[in-house]
Amino acid sequence: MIISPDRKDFSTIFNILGRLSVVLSFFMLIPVVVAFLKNEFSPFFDFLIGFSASAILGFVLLIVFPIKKEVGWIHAFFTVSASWILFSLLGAIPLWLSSHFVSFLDAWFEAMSGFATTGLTLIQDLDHLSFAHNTWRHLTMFIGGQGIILASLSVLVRSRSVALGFYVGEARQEKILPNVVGTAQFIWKVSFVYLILGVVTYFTILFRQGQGVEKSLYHAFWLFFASFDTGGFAPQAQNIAYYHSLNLELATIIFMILGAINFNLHFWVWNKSKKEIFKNFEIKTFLFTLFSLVLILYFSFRGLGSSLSAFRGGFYQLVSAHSGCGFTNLSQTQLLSFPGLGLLAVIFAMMIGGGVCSTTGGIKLMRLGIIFRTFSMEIKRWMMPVKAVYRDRFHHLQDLTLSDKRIKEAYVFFAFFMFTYILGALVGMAYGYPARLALFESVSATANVGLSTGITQSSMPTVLKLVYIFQMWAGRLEFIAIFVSLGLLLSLFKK
Amino acid sequence: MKTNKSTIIFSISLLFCLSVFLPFVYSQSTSLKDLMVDPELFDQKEVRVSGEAIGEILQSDGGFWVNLLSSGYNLGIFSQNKSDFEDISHWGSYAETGDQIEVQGRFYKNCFQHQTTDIHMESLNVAKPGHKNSRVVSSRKVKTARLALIICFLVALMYFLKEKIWNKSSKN
Repeated sequence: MIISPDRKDFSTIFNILGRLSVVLSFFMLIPVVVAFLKNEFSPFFDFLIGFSASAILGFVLLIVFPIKKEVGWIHAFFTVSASWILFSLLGAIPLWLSSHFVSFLDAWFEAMSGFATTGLTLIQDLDHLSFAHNTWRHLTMFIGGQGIILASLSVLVRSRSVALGFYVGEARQEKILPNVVGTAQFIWKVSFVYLILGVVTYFTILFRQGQGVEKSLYHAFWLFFASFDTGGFAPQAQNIAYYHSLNLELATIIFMILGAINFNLHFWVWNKSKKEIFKNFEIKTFLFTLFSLVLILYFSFRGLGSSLSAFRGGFYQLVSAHSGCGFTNLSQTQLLSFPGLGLLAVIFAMMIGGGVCSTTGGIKLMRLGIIFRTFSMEIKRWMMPVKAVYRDRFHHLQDLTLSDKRIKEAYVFFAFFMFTYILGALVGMAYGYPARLALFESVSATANVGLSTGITQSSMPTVLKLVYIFQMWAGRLEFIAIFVSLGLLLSLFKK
Repeated sequence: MKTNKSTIIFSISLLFCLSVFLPFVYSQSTSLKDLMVDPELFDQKEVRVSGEAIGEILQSDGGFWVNLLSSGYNLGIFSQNKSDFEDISHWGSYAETGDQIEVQGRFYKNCFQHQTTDIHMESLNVAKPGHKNSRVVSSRKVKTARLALIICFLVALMYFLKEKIWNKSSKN
């Protein structure tokens, strides 16, 4: 029997959305303060309008829609799906008012890209953007990466089982602590420690390069949000190439990988066993896929005249793509000049992504590892006696059996992602873009990476912008919350 | 004999002209777009580009960098001496429009020294000085913000009053 929501359910959902909208309005006060400190008057008013709009909507929803039912899993799934749309629409208001976007749709695209930690951008003249707007662009990645719902979870929800609904809806399958709220708080604690480490590292590098103290500090914060939350926005149009710094590239590689690691693994390494990092299934899969792709990259660049510079750019793109970050030290023309095999390696890296329960998108290492294992398990089965019962095992925090449930789940998500990658590529191809570029862009949007071959620009077709917005949204939430919400909405028509 | 002499003088003059002006065939002000779209054509050749100086001077890789912006295309300009950039007084940012500079130097599609695409600068001159941006806030925006803040305050007040009344009635 399928549960069908009624008016009371929707009242409850709108009430929670109202609360979240008020929470978002408070986040918008951060760029208001930045604009005030930097004497940026126009942005100051842009964010006052954004703050007021979010708060008004939030309070109106709270007044009009009281909680009429105890909050349950249906509400959690609906809220998670709708909150990303709501947040991106509200978050787009100050961006649109900045006059750096051709249309509101472009600003919405940018905001969704930020909240989904993708990093694809449609902004015009980024080099002349205000500090306040840049703060907001990077803050959206931090809010989205850490989990909008997760951020509000500790404050808003009292029931543990419902909190789990929000948690799962936000595409985080693994709990770190038995209590979900405890898990959320641990993730924020870890992030805060890395925030200090990251900001100090980036600040030191940028300050030594000759940026002033204040500017270095702002850039350090922004780059940390973009790297650890695997977002990929940067404050300058050249992205990481602006800084011309090998040290910065190495530092961003470290923080991109830290952001792509399962938070559960962070917990184990911090609190239980440091040896886990050498035994962990996801880390082993990551090393295997990364070195395989590096090898492909090496062979694709072999024979080219200036292989050193090509390889520096290639390796950085590969790590950036694999971690789902999207930072780049190349121009789009340079990326386009990659040999076919090299570009394919980057596409594969984007498809895979990082660990489950991290800020990355994509199929994820755990699922890919399980799929690899099922191949070897099947081969072993064929080599055994007919009546032999065989189950493969793997180590992820503890020794686990490769159960049918795990295999099925891995294949279902694999299929969802592959279908969406191909669907987006087909739409791109329908608009006349070459197949490999359309696939590259589609994968980049769905896996929340943000690398671009140049398709993503304000002059691209409106339908394609909408398709990429959907892909970023669906990829970030890993489909389930969205499909459940759509299914429940459809059930209304069957009543 | 006289003819030979004039031929030699003509040939020497021609050679001199060619040797002086030939390197500037590519340096007849190439656009950044052309460089970035078709880098093979200009690789390791003398070029002259112009654009807005962005950000600040950055020290890295045994020298100094300035980033150039023109028609949506960016490129890093490298020089070993910081003093080469001292003529630039305005840098492109939110607050300022940077100086329009003309740079002459050698373009590298894949610079072996820096593993990037860049220009190793030989000379620079400021073609058009930049300026501080006087950004006027539209009165419509200010009015909208004021009105939105007032509505926000009223709606928040309504909500808290409603909550208070609700709590009182539920206690009774």
